[in-house]
Amino acid sequence: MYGESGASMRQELAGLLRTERVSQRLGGPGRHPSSFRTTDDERASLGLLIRGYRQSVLVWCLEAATAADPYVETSIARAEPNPFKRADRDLSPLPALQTALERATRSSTAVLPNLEQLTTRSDVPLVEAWRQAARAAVMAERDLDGSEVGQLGQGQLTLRQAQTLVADVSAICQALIVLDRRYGRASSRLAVDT
Amino acid sequence: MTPAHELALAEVRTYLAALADQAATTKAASSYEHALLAVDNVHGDITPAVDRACVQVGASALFERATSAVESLAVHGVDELQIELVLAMLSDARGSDGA
Repeated sequence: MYGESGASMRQELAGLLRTERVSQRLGGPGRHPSSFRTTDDERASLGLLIRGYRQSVLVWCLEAATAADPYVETSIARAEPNPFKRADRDLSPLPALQTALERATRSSTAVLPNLEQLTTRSDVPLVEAWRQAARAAVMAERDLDGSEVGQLGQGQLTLRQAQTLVADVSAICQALIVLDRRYGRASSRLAVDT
Repeated sequence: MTPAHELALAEVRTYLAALADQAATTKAASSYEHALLAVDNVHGDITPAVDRACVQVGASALFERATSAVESLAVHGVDELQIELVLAMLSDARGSDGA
């Protein structure tokens, strides 16, 4: 059910946002909150795995944003195009979100996790939290295909359901952006330290 | 909304508004206000009054109080992801405030 998968995704992302000192949680150098150590190569492969899990969540965001309003059209008259602004800046919020998600998903080089990676429990809590979020995203994605009665297929949502879905997508996107920025800062700090 | 929740929310709004008032730059003030708007949005625009009397402390102490006040909203059933997102906004605002 979407309610359960959506709640699970939110819960895991909230947990990830609470996590500080990401590199050390993957067994990197520094004072250790965790009891294990990893080599650079091991941390690199854990990073790749996390990128794949993140991509699963991103793909769900795109599909949910599309399902919420598959034929987005606005009745508001468009302003005259401004040659100094990019064309996508003229879009209303939902199509702008869809466009941004489509671009982010397409331009990412991360590989989606396979079934084994999605179902195998990780010993590293940080990776495990990402796995749970990706697993919930894949489950939630199934609810969006609309092949069964009661699912949230494209064009089958009531206005209220669509609004709830868009609110979920925007909160989850926001969480991904915050995590991206934190991980980016953590890796540049690490680069300075070494 | 229970009276305790309303009190906790009033506290959060008070600290965020005070941080915005004391911010060193317009950008930082605007960032604190964005966090305040996010809190109001989570509560469906239920906006208990800001109490200006209890905030005669420095920015660091205000930030600490604001952080723990936002965290305390979890006890009143506010979604944990929303709380973490507000905390992230608060931390970004503090960063742009020269801290």
